[in-house]
Amino acid sequence: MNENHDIIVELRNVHKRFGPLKVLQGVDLKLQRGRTTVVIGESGTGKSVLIKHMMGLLRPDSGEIYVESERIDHLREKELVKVRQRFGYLFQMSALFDSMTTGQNIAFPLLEHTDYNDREIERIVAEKLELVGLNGSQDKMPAELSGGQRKRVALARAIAMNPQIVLYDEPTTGLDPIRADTINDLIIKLKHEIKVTSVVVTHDMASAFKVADRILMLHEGKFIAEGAAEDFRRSTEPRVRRFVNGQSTPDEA
Amino acid sequence: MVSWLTNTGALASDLIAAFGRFWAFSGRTLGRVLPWMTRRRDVQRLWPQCHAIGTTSLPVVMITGFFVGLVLAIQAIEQLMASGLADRMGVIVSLSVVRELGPVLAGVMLAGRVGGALTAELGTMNVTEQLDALRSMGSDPIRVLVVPRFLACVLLTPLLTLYCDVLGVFGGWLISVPVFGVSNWAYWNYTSNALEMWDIFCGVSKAVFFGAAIGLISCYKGFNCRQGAEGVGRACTEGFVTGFISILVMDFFITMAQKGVYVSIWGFKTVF
Ligand SMILES: Nc1ncnc2c1ncn2[C@@H]1O[C@H](COP(=O)(O)OP(=O)(O)OP(=O)(O)O)[C@@H](O)[C@H]1O
Ligand SMILES: [Mg+2]
Repeated sequence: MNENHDIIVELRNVHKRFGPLKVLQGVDLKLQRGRTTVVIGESGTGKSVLIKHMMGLLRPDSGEIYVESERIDHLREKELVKVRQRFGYLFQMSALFDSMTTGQNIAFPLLEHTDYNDREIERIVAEKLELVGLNGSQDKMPAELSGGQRKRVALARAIAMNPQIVLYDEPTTGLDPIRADTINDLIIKLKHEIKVTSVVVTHDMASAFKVADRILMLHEGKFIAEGAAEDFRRSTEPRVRRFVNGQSTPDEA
Repeated sequence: MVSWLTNTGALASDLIAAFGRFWAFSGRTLGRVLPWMTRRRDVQRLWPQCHAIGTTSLPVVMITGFFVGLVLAIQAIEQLMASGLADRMGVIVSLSVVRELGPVLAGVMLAGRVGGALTAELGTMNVTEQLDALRSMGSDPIRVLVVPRFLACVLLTPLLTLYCDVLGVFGGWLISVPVFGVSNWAYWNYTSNALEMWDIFCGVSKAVFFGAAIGLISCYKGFNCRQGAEGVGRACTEGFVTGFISILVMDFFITMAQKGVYVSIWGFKTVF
């Protein structure tokens, strides 16, 4: 396999600002097929903004974005539909449709894009709920669930269509350590069983070390460090060390 | 002075830009209506919206119509009795209600009642990233959310206006006939002579435009609100004020156009 074929998503020199606030300032990134890339970085550095660019939810001010070697940053919403079907996106705040039950939430993309009948859809919904450890909660409303449960329902919805690429925005935040570890195992399982390419945004270093093939650190709109989990554990770069060990400098206190 | 000028200039260009965005939004909504009708799963989303908009608004709209009818009759009855025209009470009440007050007041009630709820619902979906979630799943938020709400407004505003009209005419009757002793036969006879199909058509067609304005403005405000609960609250207020003013302005121009059409077809006619 040549090298280009292995790259499933690529960002080239991406810049993005909101009014006066410069968020991304020249991001370059290549995602390798079937690998798990973890993005870490302080709150507010633009991690969520970064992954929204990968599926065209946000448009860069300059720079290029490729998915499967097709340039997507200038496509219109209608043309992006096909691209987006390759992706599953777990939103940081879950973003469940609060007028629908858990089951209807997970069934939503299936109803929109497939011709499955009701029985098949029910079966897929039950299967995805089981994967995230919530069997039998099809008829609950999102408001009845805890934050961690909502996140897992959102994950079930993100993978309902068996996407090739899953973008996880803080999948373990707000979960107890045991649930968090089940999610880590699920990320690893999806990678091995259906060869999912994953991007995981997280602050949870235990999770990062467990699932990552590669870790990148975003700081002030650019990647400042990149490497395997081991490299990050042993890193001598001060900003990385402080993030990994969770230390604040006196002026941040 | 210079800063005042540049501020005003910036404000004006912001306003024009917002206006352009609103029409782009409206154009996209209208463009989605026909494709939307061809998908069964989309059409199924219409009924719950009609239910939410229609059933819950019916009582307030009927109460509005009833009291407007009562008040109109009270205001008019003494003058008409003094000039011996009390038999024509029904004409005054029914023409005012059917042509003007029914559609405008029902429209204003719905702008507050329905428009506010729509802006709040869509605005909340916006700030909690549910709109992005729809897009991330390859669905178009305008097709899924706006088109059914827009159509429900367009269909139900005229219907609710008719209820408002009926209660208004009934309110006028209640004051004139049982309270002030106008003859029952005269009330209905003069009413049915004066009130033409054209008047009902005028009132109902106004309501169609008002419903479209309410649906488009409130959905647009919800889709474009700022972050946070405060953003949603402000979008609701702005949506109501814009809807209210649009209804009054549209009413003026639609009335002018309808008068023009009537006179050019049937000529001028007195109602008394
Ligand atoms: N749609 C938007 N409009 C305006 N500003 C935005 C928008 N989206 C994000 N921002 C700003 O961009 C910056 C980066 O936001 P982002 O959500 O990507 O941070 P993050 O790295 O994901 O942080 P966290 O770890 O807290 O989730 C923030 O300052 C945010 O206020
Ligand atoms: Mg984030």
